[in-house]
Amino acid sequence: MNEEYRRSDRYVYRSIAGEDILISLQRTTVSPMCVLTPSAVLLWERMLEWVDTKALAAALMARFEVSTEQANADVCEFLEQLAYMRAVESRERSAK
Amino acid sequence: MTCMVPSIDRGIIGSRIASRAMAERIPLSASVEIIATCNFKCTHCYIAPVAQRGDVMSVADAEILFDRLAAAGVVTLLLTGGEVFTHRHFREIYMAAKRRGFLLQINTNAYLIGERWADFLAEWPPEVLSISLYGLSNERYEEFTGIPNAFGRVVRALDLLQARGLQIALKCPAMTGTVDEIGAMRTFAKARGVEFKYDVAISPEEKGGLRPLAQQLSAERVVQLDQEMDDMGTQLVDAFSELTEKHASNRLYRCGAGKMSLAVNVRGGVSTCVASRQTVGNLLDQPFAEVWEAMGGKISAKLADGHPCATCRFRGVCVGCPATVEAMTGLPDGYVQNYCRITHLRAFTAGAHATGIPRTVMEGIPAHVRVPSAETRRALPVMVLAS
Repeated sequence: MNEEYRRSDRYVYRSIAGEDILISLQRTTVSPMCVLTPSAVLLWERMLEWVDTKALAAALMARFEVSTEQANADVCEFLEQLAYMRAVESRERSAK
Repeated sequence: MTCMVPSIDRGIIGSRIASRAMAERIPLSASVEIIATCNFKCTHCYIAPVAQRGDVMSVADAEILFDRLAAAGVVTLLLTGGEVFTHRHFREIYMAAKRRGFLLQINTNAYLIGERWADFLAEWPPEVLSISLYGLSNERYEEFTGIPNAFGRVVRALDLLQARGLQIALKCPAMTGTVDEIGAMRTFAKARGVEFKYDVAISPEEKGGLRPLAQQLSAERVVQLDQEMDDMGTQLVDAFSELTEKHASNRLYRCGAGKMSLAVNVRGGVSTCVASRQTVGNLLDQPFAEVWEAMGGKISAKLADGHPCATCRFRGVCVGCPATVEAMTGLPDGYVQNYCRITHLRAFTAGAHATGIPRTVMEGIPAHVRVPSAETRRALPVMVLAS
């Protein structure tokens, strides 16, 4: 819970003919192209800057009708997917 | 709801995108010619022999183009030339395209690809490097490209690229100087596990020079090559067997050119495809929408009544397309009997045409249809009609 996340610059987001796509710039062991759901697009956009899971879940709840539990679960799942693709950076949250 | 990144098959997502792009005329793919000059001196080439020293795209211009193409929806981008690896700033241009999220393809002769380029490409891989092959020996390469020891260097480049797992494809223009080795080139490609293609349409130089046409294969030699390359003996039959009168159409452009794809030349000029050198606008001077609208006007043209191709059921498989016909006649809706002869002889060989001889040979070509100049016709091979 003390971690913050930011999207990696190894991927570029493109919206092509109504499809939201992440394109890998570098060699990858997973697909060089993958599709994002609307909720994933929202999270990807929020992850331009360092952000924690609480803020990401809040963004989901503000846009979509989901419970806190569901939003937290979705955020975790999404971050796991990004980590597998090496599409996310993480760090310990700095003390404020 | 889920935030998962769905693991959807690329073919499925590709067809979903393509079908919307077709309906809404979104340009999904583009080629950008970043340099018109080349390190090879091939006699069949329609670009490099007439290119000027200054026909080189700057990084700044490339970035403007890439921004406009990305905003328009282009996802697959072919970097072509000339020879792209002779561009002094190829790396910067390549990375500028990469950072904009294009799926990149490269056209190259591979001569300049050594360890450093191979390592760079392995780190930032393109979708595919499409490599021109001109023979299978240094002697043949020198005869054709004017460069000694070139084949050895190309083979080394192929080794370096393949050792790094990069996707390559090989291609060769089938013409008088290469036709005897096309089969062996396919075997060479197959042994490396890569795709091989050949093309039988040779175009005049961009500025009208006819020298390349001396290498155009005759219709008979094209069909002989088809047969040599057809292991199963079914390719021509398969290509022609389904074509009936309902496949005839007076729509001039039947491919995706100008609808889902476009080509940009080294000066920013936009044409339907790499084979077309007639531009409809300039992306460095005009907004994309304006150029794309002009393109829409060009590709919506119909063949005039009485045009020999307007009622031809073989158009979908013809060597002549609006771009190759435009190169030969100056107009995309011209008529090139040489292409028609090749296609009809193929149809005859496939059992889909009674004589293999185009109707225009007997009936003549309507006066309102533009044909190649007498000089161009003289530059083409003499035809021997099928018996």
